[in-house]
Amino acid sequence: MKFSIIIFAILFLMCVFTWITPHREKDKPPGCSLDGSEIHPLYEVIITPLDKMPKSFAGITNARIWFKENVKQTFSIMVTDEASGKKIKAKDAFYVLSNVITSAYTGNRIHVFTEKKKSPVPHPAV
Amino acid sequence: MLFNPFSLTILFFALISLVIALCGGLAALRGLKNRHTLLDRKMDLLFLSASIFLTARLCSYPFFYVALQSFVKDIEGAMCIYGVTQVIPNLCGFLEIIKPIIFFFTGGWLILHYLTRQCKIESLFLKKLIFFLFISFLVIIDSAGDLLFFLMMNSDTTVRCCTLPLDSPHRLSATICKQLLGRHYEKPLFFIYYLSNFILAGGAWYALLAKKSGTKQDRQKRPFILIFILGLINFFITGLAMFEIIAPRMMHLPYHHCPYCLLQYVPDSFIILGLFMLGTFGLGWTFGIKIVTINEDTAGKLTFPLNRLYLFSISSLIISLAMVTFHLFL
Repeated sequence: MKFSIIIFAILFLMCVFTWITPHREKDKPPGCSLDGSEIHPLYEVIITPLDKMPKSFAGITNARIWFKENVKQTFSIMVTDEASGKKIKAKDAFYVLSNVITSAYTGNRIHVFTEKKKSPVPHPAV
Repeated sequence: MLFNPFSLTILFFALISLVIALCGGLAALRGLKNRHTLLDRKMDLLFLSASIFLTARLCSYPFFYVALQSFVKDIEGAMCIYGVTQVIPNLCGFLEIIKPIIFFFTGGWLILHYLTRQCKIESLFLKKLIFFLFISFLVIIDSAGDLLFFLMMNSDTTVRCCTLPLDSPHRLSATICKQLLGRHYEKPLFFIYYLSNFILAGGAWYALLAKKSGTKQDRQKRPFILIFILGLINFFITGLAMFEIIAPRMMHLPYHHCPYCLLQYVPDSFIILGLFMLGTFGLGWTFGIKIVTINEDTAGKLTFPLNRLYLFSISSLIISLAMVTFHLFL
């Protein structure tokens, strides 16, 4: 009898926690589509698979990891110009590798700009 | 040095554990030397103190991760517990391996001690003493490791977190799965995860029923060794499945394979993992106690309590599996 009560209590708690968790997830602000981390607006990358919802990423490194797993699909990719904060097409952007880290937890050192003359660090483009 | 209430608690407890484990170990050594005094009141007192101390010690394993989680906001570059472990990676890796081992042996000793007291079995005194000496040694190492780790913890180190190593296509769990199951391993692994858990729970249930219905000779042949081996295989399979498919799906981040982020994003994953570990360890504890008591005349007295432990293990495994299923399909 005692054992049955314990099992019932565990099952009840299990149901409560399972019910609570999805509700809490709805209140969470959207993060990076790769690892759920907070997205800094200046480093955001948006990848839109064909006919699907756009996915936001915390930076170039995260977007590259996701992209490697989904390379066979067709995408449009928007990156953020670090100088102005505007979204631009990935193919129109200039990419600079520098010693300045944009995101400490990935160590990303790739920076995005619209114009070559705006790139502050005289390193070859990636 | 980085201090907060959690780390100070762990440091204090580690210091106390170190002292008590040293004293307990020395008392156990003295007890082994003077075996004619084994059944003295002093040994009773030693075991009573040991059971209280080791019960408290069991809580230090999950509390270790609570303390690591409390450091996340203080470490530059840390997004989850993985980042914190990268401040002193080798020592933290060692502690993460030794803590579940200590948990397993401590739980086994406590259950053995409790059962032998309940059933008034005194013939296992020497084996319990040797076992306690071994656990004291492990606790000394673990406590020293905790002291070193939390005293060396600092916020000056910038770390890289879990995204690059654990989401890379070349991560260890993916490499193992690809070697065993081929390139498209997700669906087969998912199937094997459920199959393995069902076989283990079913096999343990069968062994339990066989215990109740068989003769004494039949009971001796119970497949508890097979169940223990199945438990180890299931532990390995569930570990792989957790990294590769369960954690990403539960977090709704299909390409993120960090189990530490799972603890952050899915609060009841602590319960799921805890129940799974208790279920698996329970089978191991039953097996261990059977091995320790295999030649004892009083082993029959432990049959009923061990049946209950088996039942507890099966229930924990099934509840853990059910919770995962609810998360994945609801």
